[in-house]
Order: sequence, then structure tokens, then C-alpha cells
Amino acid sequence: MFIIFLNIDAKPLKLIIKVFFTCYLFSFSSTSSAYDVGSRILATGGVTQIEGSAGSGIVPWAVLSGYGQKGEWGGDVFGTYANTDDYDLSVIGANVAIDNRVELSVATQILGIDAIARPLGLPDNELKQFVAGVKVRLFGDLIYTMLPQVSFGIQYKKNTDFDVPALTGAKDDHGVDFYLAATKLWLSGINGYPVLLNTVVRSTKANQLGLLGFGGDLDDSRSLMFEGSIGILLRRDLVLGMDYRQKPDNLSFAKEDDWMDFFLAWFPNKHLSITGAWTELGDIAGKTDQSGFYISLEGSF
Amino acid sequence: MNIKLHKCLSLLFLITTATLAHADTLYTQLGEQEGIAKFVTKAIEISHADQRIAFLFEDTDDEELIIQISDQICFLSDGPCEYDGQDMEEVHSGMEITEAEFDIFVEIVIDAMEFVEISHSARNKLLALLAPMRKDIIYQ
Repeated sequence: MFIIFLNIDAKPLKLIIKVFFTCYLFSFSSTSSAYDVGSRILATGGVTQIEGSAGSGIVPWAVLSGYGQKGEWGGDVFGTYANTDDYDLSVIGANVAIDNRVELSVATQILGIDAIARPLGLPDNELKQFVAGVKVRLFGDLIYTMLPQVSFGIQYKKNTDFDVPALTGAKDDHGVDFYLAATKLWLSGINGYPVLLNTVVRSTKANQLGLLGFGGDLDDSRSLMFEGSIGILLRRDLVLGMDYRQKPDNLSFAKEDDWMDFFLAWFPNKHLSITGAWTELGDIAGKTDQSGFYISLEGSF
Repeated sequence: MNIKLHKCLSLLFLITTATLAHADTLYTQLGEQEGIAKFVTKAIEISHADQRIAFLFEDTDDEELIIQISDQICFLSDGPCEYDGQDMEEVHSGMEITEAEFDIFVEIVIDAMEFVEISHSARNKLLALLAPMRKDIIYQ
């Protein structure tokens, strides 16, 4: 995997090193005892999805970030890099969860669009946005209750620069996503390999997560989208799974497709997780059939 | 879309065939009475050493507790044991065990099972049988 990084430009490598270093600091600076992370069981905080909320690669889960149980708090810092045939996405962010009840998150996403910027004469070769999120656990527990854990979340998104999204026909430089997530882990799963199911319903106007603005010439109203994840714990520290994310199609200039990924997340301990994934993102801003790898590093505290 | 669906199904198939291996009873997979007693003893030992929950075990008769828990696990995993133990709510009454303390103990039990080399699959089958008891154990 790292050989691939060395062959591409230095930016992702720098990002990964930066996050790894931060994770490293978090892991060891405060390790006076083994007990300084929350009490929840390994891997039950999921990883951090591309908008900064606890979840898997591209989909939020109902779980809250970190390992804080009731009466405790926790959180993550994370960095994610995804590379497709014509684009690359870098995300960096952090979140905190309080009392296993409320999660607050921030993330910055940068999408490199060199492949279309020059041919189309666009004013920028990057699309940037800031995401702030809140998630509240409404009821249920991932593991212990018959009902799934159910959470309600909000993601506020704002484009740093609206020039390119405006050219594509986007109506707004900011938007708010609302989502309801239900997540359940069956411990006995498939012959003792725990299975996780996650479903999300999201109300959104975002084009390509919001990186291409919000609303468009085809449709400027909210769409109700379905998202889902399925995962299996191959070991207590290893989750193999896939995500599916339905997306609106608001802009006439280019078709927007649903996204999916296959991921493998490794939790060597409660301070660190590493996720690798293969993404299938379909058409993005006129470039067809985008797919590629994804890697995410996360430090939990 | 069809290709995507095909990929999903292949992945599911792969996982299913990879995980449907042996057909021993859970009791056998846990190492029968001897194996069960081993990891329960280990779990109690770790709990005493863990400053976060050690106080919950201060006044317990370890030998008796190990027998009670082992019998219960033997019974739950379809072993040849009669469990005449007490009601879960009753045993934990007055302890006011929190969610956090409960999770810590669960993770200790997992560590103990791992220590005596019980498989991931057997561990989770047992945890699945114990998980519904949480509501009778916490905040009693």
C-alpha cells in the first residue's frame, strides 16, 4: 500500500504522516495507564467516515466516536486519503463524544480536480468544504438491546470557494444534511463471527457530498437518500465490510452516481485504527467510472 | 448496478463459506467444564487487578463466584450442568454497576477467553448468550 503512495505526489504522504504523528502523540503522550480510553468494547466506535462522523468509509453509523461510555467522554482525530482514476480526496478532522450521548465533529475536505480544471478552464483545481456535525444517540445499544442503536445527526457543510460549484449550476454554497441512523451488531452473527448492519436515511441537497455545492438546475429540493453498511468481525480487532450510499442527481452538467466501497478496518488497540478500502464512485463531474483506493488513519482518545 | 450487486453477493458468499467451518457444540468449543473454569478463574483474577472495577469484587468469595459463573456458562452452552444459581437482579442488587463497569468486565472476559485460546467464534457465541443479561445486572 505504501509503495503506491510513494509513486504519487507528496500531498497524501504528507497528510498521512501528519495524522500518524498526531495519532502517535495521542497514543503515547497520555498513556500513564492503560485505562485512559473509554470503557466501550474495542471497535464499537467504528471509524470516522469522510464527513467526520463515527461510521465506516462513506456512511455514518448510529455509534458515537471513541470509546466513552455513559459518564465518560472520548473522540478521534483522523485523516483520510482517497484516490480515483481522475481525482483525489483528502479529509482531516476531529470529533468528541460526551456521555455516549452526543457527538460533535469537524472535518475539512479537499477534492483535487486537476483532471477537469485545465480542460474546462476552471478557476480552481481544488474543491474545498468544511463540515461540522452533531449526532445524538436517541435510544438503543449497538450490542446489548434487541432494538438497534438509533441516532439522529446533522451535518452542516460550507464550500470554502463557490466559483466552480456555481459554474456547474449549483444553487447554494452551504447546506445542512439531516440523517437518522440505525446500527446493530449481532454477536453470534454467522457462526460466531459478529455481523453488523447499519442503515441510514438522509435528507440532503448536497452535490457530491457538497463539494459541488447544494441544489442544482435539475433539482433544488431536498432528496431522501438511503445509505447502508454491512460488516463482519473476522477477529475482535478486524472488520471487513461494505458501504453503499445513494446520492442525489441535481446538476444537468454531469451525472452523479451512488457510491460504494469495500473496507477492512483494523483496530490494533483503542488508540488507533487503520482502514483501507476500495471505492466505486461512478461518474464524478463528467469523468466516468471513478474507482480507487482509500486509506484512513485514526487516533482515539 | 448489476456488477455492484454481483460483487456484494460474491463477498457475502465468501464470508459465509469461510465462517461455516466446524459444528461442535459451544460447550465443547469452550473446553468443557475444565476450559470454562480456567477462563472464569482468569477473568476474576484480572478483575481483581483492574483498579477500575476491583472494588466490585472486594467482598466476594472468589471460589464460590467462579463455581457459580462456570456452572451458568456450562448450562447456557448446553453442557451437562444444572444451574441452580440466583436471579441475576438479586445477585447484583445494591452494587449499582454502571454501563462502563459492565463493558470493562465484558472486555476482561474476552481477554481471559483469548488467554486460554478459545476461538473468536466460540467467544462471540458465548457473549451473545450473556449480552441480554445486561439489563438485569446494571443499576441494581
